[in-house]
Amino acid sequence: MQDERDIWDAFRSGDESSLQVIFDKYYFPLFNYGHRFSADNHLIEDALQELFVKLWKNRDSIKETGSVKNYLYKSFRRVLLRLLDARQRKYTFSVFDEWPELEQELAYDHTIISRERLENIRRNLKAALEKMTPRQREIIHLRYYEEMEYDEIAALMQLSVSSTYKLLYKAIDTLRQYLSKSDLLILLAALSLKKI
Amino acid sequence: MEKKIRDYGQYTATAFFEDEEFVRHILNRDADAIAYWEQLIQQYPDKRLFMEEARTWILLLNKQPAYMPATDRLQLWDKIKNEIAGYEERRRRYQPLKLIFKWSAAAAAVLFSILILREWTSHGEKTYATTFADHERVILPDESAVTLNGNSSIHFLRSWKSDKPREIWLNGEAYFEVKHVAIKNRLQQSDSFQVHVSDLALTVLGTKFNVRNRRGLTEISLLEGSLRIEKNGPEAFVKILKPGEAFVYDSSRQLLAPMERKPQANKAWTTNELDLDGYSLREILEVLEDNYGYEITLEAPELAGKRLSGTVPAASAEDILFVIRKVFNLKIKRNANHLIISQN
Repeated sequence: MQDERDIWDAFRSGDESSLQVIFDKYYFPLFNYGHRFSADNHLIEDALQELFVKLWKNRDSIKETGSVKNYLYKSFRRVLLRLLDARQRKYTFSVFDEWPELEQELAYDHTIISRERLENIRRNLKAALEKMTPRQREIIHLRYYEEMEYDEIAALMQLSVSSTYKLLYKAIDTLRQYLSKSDLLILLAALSLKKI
Repeated sequence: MEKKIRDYGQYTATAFFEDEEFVRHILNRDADAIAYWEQLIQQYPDKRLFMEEARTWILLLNKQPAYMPATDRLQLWDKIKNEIAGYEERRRRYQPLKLIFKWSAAAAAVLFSILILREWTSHGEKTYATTFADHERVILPDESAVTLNGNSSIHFLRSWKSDKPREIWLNGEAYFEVKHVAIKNRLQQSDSFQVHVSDLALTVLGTKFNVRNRRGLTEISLLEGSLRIEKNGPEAFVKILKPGEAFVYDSSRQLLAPMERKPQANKAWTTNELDLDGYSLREILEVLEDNYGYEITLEAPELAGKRLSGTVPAASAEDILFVIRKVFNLKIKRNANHLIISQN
C-alpha cells in the first residue's frame, strides 16, 4: 500500500485523483468528528466541501506534512467552527451518541465486571461528561477516542502544550469530583475484600 | 518495563485514567505491557477495582461506534469535483488578466513605499490647519476629537505610543473631546492627554474643554472632567480647574485669572453660535478678525466697551455683522477685507 504522505505529495503536485483518495479515506472520520460539534449533517457536508475545495485551490502553498490526519483535522476544525459561528450556532461538543458493547473487550484478561457495575460506571461517566465544558469534552474525545498525543491535540486546538495539559487536567478533575463518591465506594469495597 | 518506579499506592481510578502508560497498554494491547500491569495487580491487589474502572472508562470512550451519516459520500465528492472544475476553468480564462494585475500591484507597492518613505522623513508629524471662517473636526489616533475654529492649527506626532502621554500643540482655538483611556483605578502618566498652548501645558484625562489662544491671551474653559494648567520656568504655577470654570492666561504678564464668561458660552462656536454674554463690542470685533480674517477699524471708540446679551447665529461673519449693525445702529463700510465701522 502506498504511503499516505506520497498520496499527499501527489495531490500537492496537482493530481486530483489523489485528493479523492484522501477524501474517501477521511470522509467518515471527519464526519464523525464534525458530528460531535453539530448534529446538522448539511453543515458538516458544507464544511467538508469547503475544506477539500480549499485544499485544491491552495495546493501550491500547502507544505508537506508529518501527519495528513492532523493537518486535515486541524483545517476541518477551523472551517467547521467558522461555519458554526457564521450560522450563529454555539460551540458545543458531545462525546457520545450511544454506548459501545464492551462484553468482548472486558472479557479479556479475566476481568469480569458485573452488568450492574458496568451500568453504574457508564452512568457516572456520562454525568461527569455532561458537567464538563465543551472544550474539556473535546479534549477527552481527542485523547481517548482519536488517541492523539498532547502535542497533536495542542496543534489541533491551537493551544500551547502546557495549556493542553491544563485543559485535560481540568477535565479529569471534573471526572474526579463527580466520581469521588463511587471512588469511595470502590475503596470501601476493596477494603472489605481484603478482610475476607 | 523495569524503569518505572512509580508509587501506585496513591493511585485512584482517575490517576490510572490519566497515566499515559496505562492508557497505551489498554489501547495497544502490547503483550509486555499487559504482563507488566497484570503483575502490578498482584503487587497492589487493592488497586484492582480502580484499574478496572479506569479501563472501563477508557474503553467506553475509545470504542464508541463511529457516527454513520445517512449522507452520500460520492455525491459530495461530485459537488467538490464540480467546484474544482469551475475554479480551474476561471483560472485558465483569467490567467493573463491576473498577470497584468500582478504587475500593476507591484507598481502600486513601489509607489506606496515611496509615500511611506516621505512620511517617515517628515518624522511622522501631522498637522491640521483651518483657514479663516472654516471649522474642521479632527479625529485623533486615540479617537479623541478636536474641533478647530477658523484660522487655527494643531500638530502632533502621529505615533502615539501607549506608554507616553498623548501630546498635541495648538495655535488658535479648538474644542477638545478627549477619550478616557485609563483603566479604572490604575492611573498612569501615560494615560494623560496634554495640550501645549502658549507657554502652558494643559493636562487632562478624559474631558471636554475649549482652548482659545489669541493675541497673547489663552482662555481655558472646562466643561467636563478635570484639567490641570501648568506653567514651567519663571513664574511657574499649577492650577486645577473644575467643570464649569474658565480661566484666562495673559502670557505677557504671566498671569492667570478667572473669567467672567462661562465655559458653555466659550464653546458656542462649535455649534455655529456666538454667545454674546460677557463680550464687549471690541471683543466681538476681535473674534471677527481672528476667526474670519477681517481687518476692522472702529471709528466710534465710545462704543468699544458696549455689551450685549443673548446668542446669535454665527455660521458666517455676515450673521454677526448683521446683529451688531442692527443693535448698535452702525454703518459698515466694506473695502475687500477691511471693514470700517462707524455710528450711523
